[in-house]
Amino acid sequence: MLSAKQIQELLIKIADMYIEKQDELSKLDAVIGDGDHGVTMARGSKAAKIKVSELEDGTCRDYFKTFGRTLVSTLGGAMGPLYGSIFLEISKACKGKEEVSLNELSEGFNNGLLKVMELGGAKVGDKTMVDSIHPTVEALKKANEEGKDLANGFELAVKAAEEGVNSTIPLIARRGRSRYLQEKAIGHQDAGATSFSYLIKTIYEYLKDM
Amino acid sequence: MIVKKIINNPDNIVSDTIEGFVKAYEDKIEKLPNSNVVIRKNMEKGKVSVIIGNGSGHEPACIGFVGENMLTANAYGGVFAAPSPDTLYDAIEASENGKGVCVLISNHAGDVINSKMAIDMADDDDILCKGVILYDDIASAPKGEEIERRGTAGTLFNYKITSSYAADGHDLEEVAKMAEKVRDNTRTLTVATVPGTSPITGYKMFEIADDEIEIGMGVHGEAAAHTMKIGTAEEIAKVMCKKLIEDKPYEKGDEVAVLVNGCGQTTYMELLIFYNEVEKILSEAGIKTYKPAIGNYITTQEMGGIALAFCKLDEEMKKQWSKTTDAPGFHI
Repeated sequence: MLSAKQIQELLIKIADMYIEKQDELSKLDAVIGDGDHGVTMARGSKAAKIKVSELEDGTCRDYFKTFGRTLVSTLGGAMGPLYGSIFLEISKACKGKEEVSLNELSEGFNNGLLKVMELGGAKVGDKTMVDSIHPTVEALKKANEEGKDLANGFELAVKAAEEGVNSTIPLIARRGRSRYLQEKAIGHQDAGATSFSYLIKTIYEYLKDM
Repeated sequence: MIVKKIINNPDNIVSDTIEGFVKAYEDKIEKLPNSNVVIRKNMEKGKVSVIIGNGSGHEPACIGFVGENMLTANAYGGVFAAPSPDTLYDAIEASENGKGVCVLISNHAGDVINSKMAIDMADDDDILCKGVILYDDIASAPKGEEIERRGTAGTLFNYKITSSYAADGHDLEEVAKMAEKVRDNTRTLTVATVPGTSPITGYKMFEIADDEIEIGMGVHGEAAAHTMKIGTAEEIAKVMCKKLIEDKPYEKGDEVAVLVNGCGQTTYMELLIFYNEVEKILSEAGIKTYKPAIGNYITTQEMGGIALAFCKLDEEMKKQWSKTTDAPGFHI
């Protein structure tokens, strides 16, 4: 179970991770996109880290909501609403909870996936972040049904997310800026899918060390 | 990484750019106090406002297109990143002048998602508001799938014609219809000779061989699906004109406005040489040209290349295209 205080710590760790991965994600995006994914994520994460750090005695919901809203208003581009929505949906799933279990996070990521697909219009196989969110959500759901705890659930989710990233390599993109490259995008992994898998990995590492 | 550009801290590129712009044109343009929105100072009451949100890095687009008979306001995003829903909402709210706001949306995921969210917010606050999605780039989706195409340099026709039309006092429905009409008559294709450099990462936006040009570039340095050997201006113009004419198709007897847009690094001399070839090809095809726009309007940093766009005009559109404007970044 995660307390509100632990969620605050976890979100700060997620922000730090995106700040650290800035260069790596931008380089990945430069190959088949416009090369700013890492910079964008770092910019939003810096702002979100400040807002979340400043928030005292918030509920589980408050921390996710603050993080999500700040991403929507500071990331810009498509990533603001898309990434922000994931955290806003998790926030909704945590409504009224003093502690958060795999059940809430599984539901939140599931609703986040639906929101991302609705806003961006991408499906599985379009070479976007959806390709790693979808298997993650499936893994979390299955782990939750089997009664696994948070750390175990996210351990399985990390594997699923990474497999999702690898699945983007041979694809032609159908959404996002890399779709204009047509077959030239084949052989390169999607930056959005990669950055989502890092999010899941960061959550797992936090849970494992708790 | 050394970024060989004349900038300060890359984190402040957007605010530094806006400050410079507002200082230069303070007689007619201001920035909203808490939002990256530039807006006209002397708006006429009772007219539909036309606005757009776009990523920065394309100057003079689109801040330079704010002015009389042009955009009422521009919501300004990060480099090549659409502004957030709240910035766009601020632009809508501040430009509302009694007859509603037409939001032009260049078809890119970020622009579309953020604009839709902002329009929802405006609806919720009872501000009359309507979005029109603009697409013109023939390289990004085949004929028949026009709505999948991205918005590129040809959107310039829309900023000018739709805004001038709104300034004549038409209502929001009519203004939105005009935006759709201009869009449906516009086609664009872009070639690139040299990549631009991202001012925030310092990296080249794509790689290209010394003797090749990319054909079908986007406005953010997204590499294109195809390359061709660099030829003469005449050869490149022939390839581009053929594709554009066939796509619409533009026909004998049509009258078109031509945009020869430099992407940042290409010289005015090259643009004129290229226009000369385009005019010859159109003239041979029996297509008349009307008041071309030749210059750097929508740039991708110092990318070398040309975006060529045609817009088929009727008498109303001709009137609006040629109406004078004081927008700092526009001239024909």
